[in-house]
Amino acid sequence: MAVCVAVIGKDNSPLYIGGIGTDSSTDNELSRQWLVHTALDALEERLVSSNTNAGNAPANAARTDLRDLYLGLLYSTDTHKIYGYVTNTRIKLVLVTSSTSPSGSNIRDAEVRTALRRLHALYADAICNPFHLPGDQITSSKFDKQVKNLMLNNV
Amino acid sequence: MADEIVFELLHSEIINYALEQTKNDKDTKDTDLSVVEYIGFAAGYKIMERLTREWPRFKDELDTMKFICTDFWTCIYKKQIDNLRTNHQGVYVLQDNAFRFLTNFSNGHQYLEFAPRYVAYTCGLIRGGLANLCINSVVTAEVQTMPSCKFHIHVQRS
Amino acid sequence: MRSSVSYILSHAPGESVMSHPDYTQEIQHHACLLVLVKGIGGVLKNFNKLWERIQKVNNIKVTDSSGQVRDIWVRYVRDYPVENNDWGDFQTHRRLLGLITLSKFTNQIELNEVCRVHESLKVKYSNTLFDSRAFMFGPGNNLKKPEQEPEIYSAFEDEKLFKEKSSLSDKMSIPSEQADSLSSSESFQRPSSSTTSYSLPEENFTTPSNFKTHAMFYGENDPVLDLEQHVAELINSLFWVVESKRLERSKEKLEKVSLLLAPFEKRDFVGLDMESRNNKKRCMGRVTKNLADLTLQSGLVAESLTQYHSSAEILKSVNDWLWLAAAKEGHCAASAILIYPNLRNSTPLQRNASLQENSPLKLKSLSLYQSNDPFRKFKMGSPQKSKVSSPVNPPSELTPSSSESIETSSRQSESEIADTESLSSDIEYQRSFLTPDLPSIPRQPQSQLHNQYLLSNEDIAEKYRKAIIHYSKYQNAGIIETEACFKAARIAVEQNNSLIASGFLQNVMFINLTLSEQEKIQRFDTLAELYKEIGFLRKAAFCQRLAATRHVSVNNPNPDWRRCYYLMLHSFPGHKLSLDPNYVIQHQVGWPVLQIQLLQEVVVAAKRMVHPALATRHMTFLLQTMWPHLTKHEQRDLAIQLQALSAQCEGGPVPLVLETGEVIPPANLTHVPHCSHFTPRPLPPARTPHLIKLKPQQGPFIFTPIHFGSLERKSKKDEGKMEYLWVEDDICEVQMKLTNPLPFELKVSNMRLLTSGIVFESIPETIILPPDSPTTVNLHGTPKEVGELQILGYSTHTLGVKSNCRLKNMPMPNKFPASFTLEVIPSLPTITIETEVAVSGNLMSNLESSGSVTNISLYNGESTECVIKITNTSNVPIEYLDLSIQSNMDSQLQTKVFQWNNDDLQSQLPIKPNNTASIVMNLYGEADFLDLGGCDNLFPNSLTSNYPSRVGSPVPNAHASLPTQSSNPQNSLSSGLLNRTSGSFRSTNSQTTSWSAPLSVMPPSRGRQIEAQFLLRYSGGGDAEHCRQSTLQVNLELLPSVSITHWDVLPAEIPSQLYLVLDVTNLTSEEIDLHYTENKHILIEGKESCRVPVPLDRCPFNVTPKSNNEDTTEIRSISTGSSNSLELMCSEHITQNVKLRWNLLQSNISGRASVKGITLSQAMIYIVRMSPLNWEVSINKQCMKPQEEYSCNAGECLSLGVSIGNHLARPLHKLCLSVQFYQDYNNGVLNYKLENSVATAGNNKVVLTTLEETAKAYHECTVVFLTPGEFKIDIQCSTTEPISEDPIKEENSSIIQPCAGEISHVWRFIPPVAISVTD
Repeated sequence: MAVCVAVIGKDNSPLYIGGIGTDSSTDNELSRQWLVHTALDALEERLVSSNTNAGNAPANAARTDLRDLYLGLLYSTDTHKIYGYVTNTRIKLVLVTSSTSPSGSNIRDAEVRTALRRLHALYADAICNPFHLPGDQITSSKFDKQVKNLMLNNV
Repeated sequence: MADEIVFELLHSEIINYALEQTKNDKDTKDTDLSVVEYIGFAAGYKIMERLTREWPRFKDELDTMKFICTDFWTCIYKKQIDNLRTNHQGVYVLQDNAFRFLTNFSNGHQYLEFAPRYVAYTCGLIRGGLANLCINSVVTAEVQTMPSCKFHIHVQRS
Repeated sequence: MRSSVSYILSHAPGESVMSHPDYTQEIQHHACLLVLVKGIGGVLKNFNKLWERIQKVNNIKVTDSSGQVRDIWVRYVRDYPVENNDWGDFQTHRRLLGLITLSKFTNQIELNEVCRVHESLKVKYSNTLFDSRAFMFGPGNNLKKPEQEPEIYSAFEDEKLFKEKSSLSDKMSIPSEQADSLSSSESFQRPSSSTTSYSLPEENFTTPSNFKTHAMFYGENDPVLDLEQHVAELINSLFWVVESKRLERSKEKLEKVSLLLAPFEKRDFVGLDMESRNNKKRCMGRVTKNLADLTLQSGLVAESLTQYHSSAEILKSVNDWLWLAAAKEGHCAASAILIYPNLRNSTPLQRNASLQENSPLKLKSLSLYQSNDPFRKFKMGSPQKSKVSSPVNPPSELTPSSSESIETSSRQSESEIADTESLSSDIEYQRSFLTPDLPSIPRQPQSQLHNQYLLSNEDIAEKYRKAIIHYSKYQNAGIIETEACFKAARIAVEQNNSLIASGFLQNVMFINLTLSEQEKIQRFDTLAELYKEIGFLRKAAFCQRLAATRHVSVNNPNPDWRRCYYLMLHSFPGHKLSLDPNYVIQHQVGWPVLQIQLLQEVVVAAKRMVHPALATRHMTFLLQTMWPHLTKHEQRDLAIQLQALSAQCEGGPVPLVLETGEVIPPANLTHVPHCSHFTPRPLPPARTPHLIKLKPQQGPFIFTPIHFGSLERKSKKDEGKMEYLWVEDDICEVQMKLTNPLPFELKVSNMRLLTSGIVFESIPETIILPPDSPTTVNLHGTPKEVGELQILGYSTHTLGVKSNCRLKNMPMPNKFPASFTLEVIPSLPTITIETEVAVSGNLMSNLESSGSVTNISLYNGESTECVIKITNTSNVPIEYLDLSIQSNMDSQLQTKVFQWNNDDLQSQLPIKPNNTASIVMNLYGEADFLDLGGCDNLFPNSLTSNYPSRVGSPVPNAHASLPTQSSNPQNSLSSGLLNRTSGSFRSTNSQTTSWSAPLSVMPPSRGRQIEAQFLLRYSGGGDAEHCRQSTLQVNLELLPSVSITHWDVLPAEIPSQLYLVLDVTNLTSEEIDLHYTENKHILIEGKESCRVPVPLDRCPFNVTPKSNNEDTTEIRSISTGSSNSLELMCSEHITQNVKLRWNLLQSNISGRASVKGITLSQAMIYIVRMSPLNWEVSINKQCMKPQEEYSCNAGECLSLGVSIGNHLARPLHKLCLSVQFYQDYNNGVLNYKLENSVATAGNNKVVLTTLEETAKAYHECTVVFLTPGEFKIDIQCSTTEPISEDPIKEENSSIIQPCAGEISHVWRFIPPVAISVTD
C-alpha cells in the first residue's frame, strides 16, 4: 500500500527513507524526499500545538487526539497521501501512499495506523542494534527488508 | 528470580571492571564512574524507545516523570518509585526505599561509602531515558541509609 | 476540503470563465471600492511617489444624507483584467469603480494621445466605471488648465437610477453609447495629426473636444499638493454612486427582481421559468447577497452581516451552492473586518512588519499619519478649491462636506487612538505569538459587537471551509475558490492558526485551473509567501521550487532564469541552508540529498542567467558544504563541473552582491586539497636565534634546550603559541600535509599563508598533487616587522577557485588552533665561514657552509695555523661575536692544541655587511713523545726490556760511572723498582684518566683523531638578547712523528753537566732530520730509531719553587703527581732544557718534540741533580780537577785533603766521610786489598756528627804509595739519616726501605781521583 516510508530523527534529519514506488514519479529517491520533507512542517506544527496547550479552541479540541502518537493524514497531493506518526521520543515516522495505485487509493485510516505502529516497533528494535548510533542513519539491511515487506504486505 | 540476579551480577561486575580500569591510569585520582554512567545513559536512551511505544504522548514534563517512576522503573527494577517530589521548577526527587542494587548487600550504614558506585548506572539510565524524551537533565543520587536511595533530577532548560 | 460531489458541470468551461486570479486579494477587500491607477503616456519619473501617496488615501469618512458617518475604504490596483470585472454582480467588490490616470506629455500630440488612452480606458471598463480623474503632467511649471467639456458617465441602465443620481450628484448627462465614445476617440485623431504648431512649451494646450474627463494639469516637477484632495473627491463621488446603488437595491421589490448571474451561469438559466418558486427564492437570495455586498462596501458593515446571513438562509434553501458560498464568504469578510480592524488599518506590508514585532510606537505613528494625512491635505487644499471646479459636487455642496470631513477627522482621530490602542495591544499579541501560549485575539470594544450574526474566529474558519467546499463544486468557479482559499488562509494567519491556514493553502493545490504559466507561478509565489508567514518554511521552499521550475519549464513560452534563480535562492532557508558555508558546515541540519539537488539546480540557473561568477560560487559552495555527503564519484564529477564553470569565471574569496542587494559570502574549498597537518617550523639550526645569555658549553647538543622547552610547554600552553622565534626579514617556513581526495591529478597554484598581525610577505607556491597520497608542502614567507605574527591559514587556487582556508574553518576531524602565534624578533645577521689551513706550506682552503667539516692532519709536534674567514652575508652589521671550541679533549689539552687571540677577534667588530673578519687559529700537534710499553716489537734491538730506562752505556767509563751497581745493588734494584712503579703509575693513569683525556696518554706511535667544533655565536642589528650560532666542525688528525722509547742519563765529563741519552724513533716513513741541540743533528731513516746524547746542565739543586709550580701542576695533570717532587723537579728541568726539533726532509714539515713527563730512576736523579755536597779534593794542597790524573812516585808522601760543603738548606747529620784506595784492572775487577802497596797516615774514615748548612768540613790524611801502579781513590760520604726534602720522599723511601740497608745515602766524588804511581 505504501510507496514510501521514512524515519526522521529528532532534529528532522532523515534516518531512513525507503520506497517501493512503481509509478515513475515517486520511485526515485529524490521526489520521495521532497514529499516527506515538505510534510515535516505540518508534523512540527501539530507537535507544537499539541505540546503547548494552545489557547484557541480548535487546538484544544485537537489536543485530545494529538496525544495519540498517530497524527493521521498530514497532507495530500493529487498523487499521494502523506501520513504522520510521532513517537514519544520525537522520532517522526512518515508513510506515503499513492492515491493513483489501486491499493493505496482507498486505504483506510486504521490500516495506516497499524502499519505505522508496526514501523515504530521495527524502529525500536533497530535502534537496539549495537552497531547503530542514535541519530545516525539506519543502515541495517534487516530493518530495510522488514520495512519493505511491511509496505508490501499491507495491500 | 535467577534471571533477575543475572542482571544484578552483571551490573556489579561491570562496576568492578570500571573501577579496575580507572585504577590503571594514574591521572584519575578518585574512582571515576563516568564509564558506568555512560553505559547507563546509552541503555536508557535505547530502552526508552521501546517502553514508550504503547504510551500516549506525554502531556508535559511531570507526565514524563510519572512515567519514569512507574513503568520505566517497574520494567527495570520490578517495582515503582515510592515517592516523587518536585518544585515545579524542573527539579524532581525520586525516592526508592528499597533500591534493588543496594538491597542485596546492605541495609544500614555498612558499605555506605561504596554506595555511589551502585547508583551511577541508574543515574545514567534515567538521564539517557529523559534525553531521548528530549529532556536534558543532570541526575544525581543520594544515599543516606541503604537500601533507600534518592535520585535528584535537575532538568536543564535551554 | 474538496466536496465529495463531482463538478456541477454548467457548460463547457472556457469563454467567460474568469481566468485571472487575483492572489493578492484579502478578505477586507470585500468592503473596498476598487480603483484603477494607471500611468499612461510618457514615463513619469515620480510616478511611484505619486502612487504611494494615492495608496495612503485608502480610507475616508463621509457623512451620508442621514448624517451618519460612513467609513469608506478603497483598494487601488495598478492593473485589472476586464474579465474579472464581469464577476461584479457575483461579488460587487470585483467591480472596477474608479479610474485615475497619471500621464505625462510634452507637446500637443502627446497630450492628445494621452487623452485618447484615458478615454479608451474608460470605455474598457465602461460597464462598471463611475468616475475618473486624469492627472496630466506637462512641460514647464505653470500650465493654465485648458478648457474642456464636463465629463460624461456611461453604464447607467435605467431612468429611475439616473434621476436619483442627478438628485444626489450634479451634472449627469444621458449615458452616451459606446459607439459615440468610440467615434469620438476616432474624432480626436484629426487634431492630433494637425497640431505640430503646439510644440512650444509655454503654449497653451487644449485637450481634444471629446476628452470629457475631470483632468488636473501640473508641471512635471510640481509638488502635486492637492493630489490627495482630488483622490478623496473621487472616492467621495464613488461612494455616492455606490450608496445610490445600494439604496436602489434596498428599495427593490423582492418579488420582481431580475436574476443575477455569475458569468458562466448565463447559459444555465435560459429557458428556465423564472416564475418557479424555487427560482424566485434564488433571485431573492442572490439579490439580497448583492445588496449585502453593496452595504458592506458602503461602510455599513454591521448591517451587511444580517443581510449576508439572511441571503445565506435563502440560498441554502434552494441549494444555490455557488451563491451560498459567496454569501458565506461575505459573511466571513464582514465579521473579520469587525473583529480584526487592524486588517484594514495596516497594509499587508505593515502587517508583516507587525508580525516581526514592530515597535508599537512606530505602528501608531503610521496609522495616525494614514488616518489624518488625507484630511490635513484636504484642509490645505480647500482655499484653492474655488479654482478647481469639481463636476461631481458643486462648491455649494462640497464646502460643507469638506468641513464635515474636517470635524469628522477630529472625531476620527480619537477613534484612531482607540484603534491604535487596540493595535498596540495587538502588538502584544503578535509578540506573544512567538511564545507558544496564545492570548485571546483582541476584539473591538464589545459595544460594536453586539450583533448576533457576528461570527467568531472559529466560525469564520468553519464558514470559509464550507464556502470553499461549495465553490469546489463548480469547475468554473475555480478562480473564486482559489482566491477564497487565499483569503481564508490569510484570516487563519491573522488568527494565528497555522494548521487551518495550511489546510486552506493545501486546498489551493487541488483546484485545477487552466492557467498561464505566469499565473501558476504567481500562485506558487503566493503560496510560498503565505506558508512562510505560518512558518512552514519547507512547504514554502517546496512551492518556491515549483515556481522556479515553472519559470523555466519547457512549456513556458519565455523562460526566465533570473526569477528562477532568485526563487531557488530564497528557498534556501526552507532547506535549512544558509548562504554562509561555514554556518552550514557547523550546523549540519536539513536533508543533504535535497540540498545537493537544490544547489545543483541553483548552479544551473545561475549559469543559464549568464552569471558565471555566481555559478562558480554556488558550485564551490556545493562542493565545500556537501562534501561529506557526496560519494567519491559525485565528488569527482562536481569537481570537474566546477573546473568547467570556473573556466568562464574564476571564483574568488570575495562576497558577491546581487542586484537585489543580497550578499553571497565567499565559499572556500577546504576539502580540496585536504589539509591534514599544518605547523610552522622553527628556523634551521644555522639561523635559529639563541639567547646570548646561554653558556656556550652545552656539550655537543647545542639545540636541545629549545626543543625540550617547546615540548614541555606545549602541554600547558595553548598549542597556538609557538615556542620558537622567527626573525624579521628571514625566510620562515610552515609545513603542511596535503591530500588530494580527487581521483585525478590536482594542480594547486598560488598557495600562500594567511597571516595577521605584523606585515608578512608570503611566497606563492605551486604544487601538483597526485590522487590520494599525502604530500608534504612547505610554505615560505618573510616577516617584515618585529612583533606578533598570527598565521590564520593558507590560501589556495585550485579547480579555478581561489580559496582562503582559515584554520578555524577547517573540517572537523583534525583540530587546528584558530591561529598560530609566533614572535618575530629583529633581524639578525647571517654569516658564511671560510677556513684556510696552512698544511705543509700549501694552503688548503674550503668554503664553509655551516655543518661542513674541515679536515686537518698534523704530525705530532707540528704546528700550523688555520684562518677562519667570517663573511657577513646579511645586511645587518655583526656587533657581537664569540668563538668557543668544543672537542673530545680535556680543556687542558684543548687549549694547547687550539690557540687564538680573542682580543684580535673583538677588535674586528663590528663586521659591516659583506665584510669579512678573520680569526687566526693556531693548531699545535700536542703529543706525548715518550713511548712506554707496547713498543718492544718496534725495537728489536731494545737492550734491557724489563726496565726500559736502562741503557747500555755507549760512552767510555760507563762502568766507572756506575759504581753503585757493584757497591750496593739495592740502589740499582731500587731504581729499577722505582721506575717500574712510576711506570705502572703512568699506565694506571692512562686507564683512570682515559674518560677525561684519552688522547693525553695515547702512545705517540699511533695517529689520533681530534674532533672539535668551533662554535661561533654572533649577533647584531637591533636585537640585544638574541644571537645566532654556527658551528665549524674540525677534524684534526695527529700523525705520529717521532717518539722516544728509551732514555738514560750519563754523567758528563764535567760535574756540572750530564748527558741525556734518548732512543729516538722516527715513526714516519720519511727520513727525518732531528736537531737535538743547537748545532747537533742527526738523520734518521723512516721507521728507524737511533740514540742521541743530549748534553744538559745538571739540575740546579734548589730550583726556585715558583718556576716549577705551574709545571708540576701541569705534570700532575698528565701523570698524577704522585711521583716525588724531586723527580718532578728533575724531569721538569730536563723537559725545559731539551729542545728536539725534527724536520721531515721530503715533505719539508718541521716540528718540535719534547720529553715532557720523562721519568727518572733514583740513580738517574743523582746524576741529573747536582749533589748536595760539593767536594774539594786536593793533593798536596793542589786542587784536583775532574778527569785529571795526578802522578807521583812510589814512596812519595801525598797529603790528600777533602773538604765538603753542605749545599742543602739544612744541616746534615751523622755524615761519614771515607776515603778508600783501590785498583781498577779495567776488566771489571776492582782490587781493594792494597795493604801492602798503600799506606795511609791519619784515618781514612771520619764521622761528622753534623754539618751545618753552608758549612764546610775539612779532612786531611797522608798517603804513601809503596808500589807503582794505577790507583784510584774512592771518596765517598754517607749518611744514615734519610734526606727528607718532602713527604713524597718518605713514602718513596718506604718503598725502598726493605732493600736499602742502614746506609740510606751515599755521595761520591765522581769521577774518582786517579793517581798513577811510578817508580
